[in-house]
Amino acid sequence: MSLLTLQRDLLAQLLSDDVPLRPEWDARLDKGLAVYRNAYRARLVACLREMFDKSWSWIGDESFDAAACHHLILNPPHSWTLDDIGEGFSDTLASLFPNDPEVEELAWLEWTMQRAFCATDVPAISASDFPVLTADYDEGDWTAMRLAFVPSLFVRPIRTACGELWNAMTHEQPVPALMLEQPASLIVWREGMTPCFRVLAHDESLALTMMQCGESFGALCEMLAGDADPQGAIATAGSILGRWIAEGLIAEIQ
Amino acid sequence: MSSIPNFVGFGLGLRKQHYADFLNRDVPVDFIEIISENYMVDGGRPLATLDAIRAKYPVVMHGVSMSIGSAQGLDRAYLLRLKQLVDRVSPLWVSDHLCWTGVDGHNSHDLLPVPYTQESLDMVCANIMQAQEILGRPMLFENPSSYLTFPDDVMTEWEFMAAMCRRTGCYLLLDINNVFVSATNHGFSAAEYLAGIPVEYVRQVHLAGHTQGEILIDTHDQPVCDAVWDLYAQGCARFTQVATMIERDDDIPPLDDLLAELALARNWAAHAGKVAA
Repeated sequence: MSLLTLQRDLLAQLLSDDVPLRPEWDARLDKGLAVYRNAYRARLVACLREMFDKSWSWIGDESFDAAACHHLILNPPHSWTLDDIGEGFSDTLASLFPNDPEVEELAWLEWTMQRAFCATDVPAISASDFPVLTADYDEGDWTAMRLAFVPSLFVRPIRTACGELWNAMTHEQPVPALMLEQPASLIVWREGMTPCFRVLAHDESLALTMMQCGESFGALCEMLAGDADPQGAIATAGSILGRWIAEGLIAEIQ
Repeated sequence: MSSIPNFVGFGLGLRKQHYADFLNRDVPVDFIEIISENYMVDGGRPLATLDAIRAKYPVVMHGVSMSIGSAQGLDRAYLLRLKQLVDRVSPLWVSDHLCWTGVDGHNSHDLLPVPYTQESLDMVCANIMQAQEILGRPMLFENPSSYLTFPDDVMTEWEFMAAMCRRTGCYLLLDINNVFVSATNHGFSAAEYLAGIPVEYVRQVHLAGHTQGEILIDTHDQPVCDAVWDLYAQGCARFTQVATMIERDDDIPPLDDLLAELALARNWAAHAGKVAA
C-alpha cells in the first residue's frame, strides 16, 4: 500500500466508524484508530466551544455540539491553523436556527472579535495627527478627501440586539429584548490591543458604507444633507469623522 | 546547512495563563518554548506579547502543523509564513513533529503516525530538506506518541529517526513521555529506544504527563509521573548536552507549580550527570 493510500484510508477511518477496516489492519490497530477518531471530534468541538463560548452558553451543550459536528462535516478543517475552523460557523448556525436570528449574529460577533484581535497592526490617525495632516486643506481638499480604514474594522447589518446580548452575558445581566425595532449596523474593531464593538446609528452606517466604498467626504456631506441644510450636514459629517478618529478607525486620509 | 550548537538549560512552554508572570517577573528559566502557530497571525496582542517575552528570554519555536510526513508534500504557504515568524523571533531552533496531519486538503489537526517504511522515510526526508531549505536552518523533529502501528513497518521508530537525521542533517527533540507512552502501548522497550537514538542529534527533551486508559494517552494535563522521571534519568545519562522542557497544555497550574516541577528535572539531570560521570 502506498503512503498516500494509507493516509487517505486512515483519515477516512477518523471521520467515520462506518468505514470498513482494511483486511490487514487488525483489531489492535482499530483500538488505536478509535483514540484518534475520538480525539478528532473532541478537539475540534472543544475548539469551537472556546471560540464561540457565548453562543455555546446561549444555545446549550447539546445544541451547540450538534451544530459544531454539522459544521465540521460541511466544512472540514482545511487550513494549517485551527483558528480557521470557526470560519462560516455563524452561517451554519443561521441555517440551523432560522427563527432565532440572534444566534447567528452573536456567533458572527464572537468570530469577528477574534479576527479583530489578531488583525494587522496599522497605526490609526489620532486626534492630534488629524489637524496636522489637514492643516493646509482648502475647501476642495475637504470635498475630495477619502479615507482608508484600519484592517481590524468589520461592519455588518443586524436585526437583533446581539451586542447588548453579548454585554449582558459578559456581565451576567438580564437578557435584553432580542429584536431591534429598526435594523441597524454593528461595527467591530480593535482599539489598541482590545477588540470592541458598537451599534451605528442610521446616518453613520450609511456614511461608513460610503467611505469604505471610496466615496469622498464631499459626497458624504451631500448624502447627509439630502433636501436639508448643507451646513447641518457638514456638522454631522464632521461629528461622525471626529468619532471615527477618536476611536482609531481611520488609517489614512487620501 | 549550518549546525545547531548544544544548548544546556531548562525551560517551560509559554501559555497565555502565564503571560503576566513571564512579563512581570524574572522567571528562572533558561529558555521559553512557544507554539509557532499561536503567533503566526497578522498582528495584535499575541505578537506584541511575544516581542516583549522575546526581549527577556531565549525562545525556541515548536510547531504542530508542518505535517512533515505528508505523502503530498508540504504546504509552501505555511512554510513561508513560518519563516516570517522565524525571522521575527530569531529562535534558538525550530521544531515540529514526526507526523502527518491531513491529506487532500483535509486537516485533522492531530499528530498522526507515519508508517516506518522506506517510502515513508524517503518522503519525510524530502519534506525535511524542503522545510530546512526555506527556513534556511536545520530543524528538530519530535518523536510522536502513538496509539497504533502499521503492519507495513519495516523498521523501528528509533531506526527511522536515526536514518532521518543522517540523511537530512536535522536534529531531534526527544519527548521522553512520548517514548514511554508509545513503548507501553506497542510493547517495545523504552530503554532500547533510548539506546538506539544517536546522541549527537538530540538537542531538546520534552517531559510531560499522560493519562492511563485502555491505552496510554498523551494528554499533557498532569505532572510528570515517576516512570517518566526514571526514563528521563536514563536519558540524561546519555544525552548530557540538551535543553529540557516541561510541557503542559491542559489543566494548566500556576507557574510556580511548573517551576517546582522544572526544579525536579534539574535535580534528576544533575543526579544522572553525576552517576554518568
